[in-house]
Amino acid sequence: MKKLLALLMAVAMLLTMCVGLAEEHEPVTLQVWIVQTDWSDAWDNEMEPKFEAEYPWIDVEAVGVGSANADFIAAAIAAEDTPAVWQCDNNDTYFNAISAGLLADLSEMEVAQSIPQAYRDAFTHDGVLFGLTQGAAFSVLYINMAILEEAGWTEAPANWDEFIQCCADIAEKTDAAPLTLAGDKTTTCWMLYELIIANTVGDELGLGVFEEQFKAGTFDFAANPEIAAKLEQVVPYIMTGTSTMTEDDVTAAMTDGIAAMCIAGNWTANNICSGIEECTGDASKVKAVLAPFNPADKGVWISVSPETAFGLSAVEVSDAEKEAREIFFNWVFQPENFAIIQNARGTVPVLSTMTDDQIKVPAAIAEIVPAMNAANFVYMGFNCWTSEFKDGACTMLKDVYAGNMAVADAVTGMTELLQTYHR
Amino acid sequence: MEKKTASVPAAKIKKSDFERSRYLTGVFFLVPATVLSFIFVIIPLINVIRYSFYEWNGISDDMLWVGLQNFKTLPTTEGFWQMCISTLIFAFGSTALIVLFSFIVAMALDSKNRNRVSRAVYRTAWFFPCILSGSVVGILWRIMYNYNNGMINKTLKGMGLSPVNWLETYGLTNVAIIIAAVWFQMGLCIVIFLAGLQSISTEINEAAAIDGANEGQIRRHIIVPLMAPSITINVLTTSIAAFKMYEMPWLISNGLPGYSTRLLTQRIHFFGIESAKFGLGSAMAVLLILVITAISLVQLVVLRKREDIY
Repeated sequence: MKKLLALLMAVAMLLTMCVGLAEEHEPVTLQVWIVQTDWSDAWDNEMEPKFEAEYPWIDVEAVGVGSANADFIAAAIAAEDTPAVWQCDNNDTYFNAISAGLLADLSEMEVAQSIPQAYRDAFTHDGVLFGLTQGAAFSVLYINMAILEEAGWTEAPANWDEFIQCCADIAEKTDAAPLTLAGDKTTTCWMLYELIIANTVGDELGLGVFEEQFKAGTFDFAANPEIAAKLEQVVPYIMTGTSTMTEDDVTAAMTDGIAAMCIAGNWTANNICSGIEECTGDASKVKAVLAPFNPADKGVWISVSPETAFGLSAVEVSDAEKEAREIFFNWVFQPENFAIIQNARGTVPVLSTMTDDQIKVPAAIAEIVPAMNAANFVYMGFNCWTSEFKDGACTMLKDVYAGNMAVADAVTGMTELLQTYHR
Repeated sequence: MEKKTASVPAAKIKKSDFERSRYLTGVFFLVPATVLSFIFVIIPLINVIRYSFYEWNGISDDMLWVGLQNFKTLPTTEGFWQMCISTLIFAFGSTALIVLFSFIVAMALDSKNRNRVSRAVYRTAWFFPCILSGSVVGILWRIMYNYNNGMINKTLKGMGLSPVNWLETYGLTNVAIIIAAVWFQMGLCIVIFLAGLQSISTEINEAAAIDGANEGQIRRHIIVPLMAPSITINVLTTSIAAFKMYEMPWLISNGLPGYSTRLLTQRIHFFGIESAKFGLGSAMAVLLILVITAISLVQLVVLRKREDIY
């Protein structure tokens, strides 16, 4: 009897061990690329500990690749050293990675359904949904109202004519330069011009047509002379040095109070708004508006873009690693986790499962979110251009901002460039 | 006896153990450098030449043989000729100024009148920029050249002068990046010149002084000719480095205004990495290698002839 009991106990112990072993997971290390540095602290301090506490067998190794990541990514792809979870942009590098079968199609994943269709379309190439965006970006005009008041403006300008008059008053009555932007960054260098284009021909063309023509290389920048005329009107008011300024330089200029207004993305809202507040010592002097480049009788057009997206590797790996990748990817897009990234960036969320109490955007931006959602829009240049066009066109624009090139020459040059280099 | 030894065929002379071990030691020390050069220089170089005949995006397995098409396309690409000119301006401008100024500084540092401590401090100060990376130097000078907040313009304003738009003015930006390159690269040239100056026997100078030569004549007719080998080395290494320079000028000027400070190395990067046109980028790299080789050979021949004259 004792022997039988001992045998039964041994069998029971063996079975328990087997079940335990079955539940144990093989340790897996996942490499994740992080592009923006402004949420890397949030990653280190909040997300990684949270995820690894929930999934102790998955070790996440985050690699900060920086926003100027083309070299890093191209080298990694060439060396076949790609991560489990990518951060992707909408450009040739990633299209090539899709063609090479390095990025997975996410369209069947449940979390993909929480991203609005327009943002899924933006990251679809050759029928492959290769990225789920981490937020919505849009163009903003940040204003130091203290300087505007000095120039006699108690309200922000509401249309193009008012904007130009406001610039003239600032130039005449204050020591500050009316307008600046980060010319060094192609996205923001192009932003001023795309806003002029959108507000000039947007209503006539309708939603999405400009982008279609841009991608096809058929858009003629010189066809509507009003575009060049408006650019010519604003150029004299652009701060000297703008063509070489980085986003940090723009923040510094706003903090020092040497520029009254700046065109920038909502992703820099935290820095610029706190810079203006530091400059004026008064939070009420910080104003963010949708760039009022519209004619007085028409609504405003803005430029928008999905932000950098998360992508998933399609490279064949063990089942354990494959499962870990999917766990991580789904986990990131759970609202309570996604809110950490979103709030660190201060951008507008696109995840439909997030609730209002989870969303924190800077006060100045929160005020304009409803208007942003209602406004007509064009996609930011980098969603439509090739690297050759980007390089050539932004080089011309920088020359225009610096006063080295006539607007007419630049506009004609861009049309020719687009005919040669388009998607 | 001697005759007998000399008549023994060379092949039959047995190497002593010492000679053999010395030979093996030499080989042993050469192996790591040879292997590393092979892996990191020779193989990539061969690959770059190979890629220049293909159309390839750097990722896919499909490489399309296009022969010399990439080389034919290069001159038609946006800004190609302006970039060639800006590369030549940068390479020749920085080489001339670096060699000239480092020679002058080396002469000043070689002065026997200073005490040992101050000499060491000055030499360290001049050499210091060399130990920085090109990126650090680029960012540093970019901040200094900033129109609105840069140290240089603030100093000018403080002196009651107008600020200078260093980075947005055609021509001036070329000067700006050359100044930064001179500051960055002078240190190594100074060290080579100092070594050359210190190898000149004081007796020659003394003899010239006894013969009535003044300080200027000694420098012109004795020191400069004797420094010819050092000048050759410095001109060659500095010009090759200038043609290969990438990050420092890019971080200062971003190639602006227009393409006036955009260098060919930066275009190689643009084609190969940003545009994913490895073939075109490789063709430009091959072209640059040929240009550097040709210019270096010309310099070597001309400067060696000058050394021979002396």
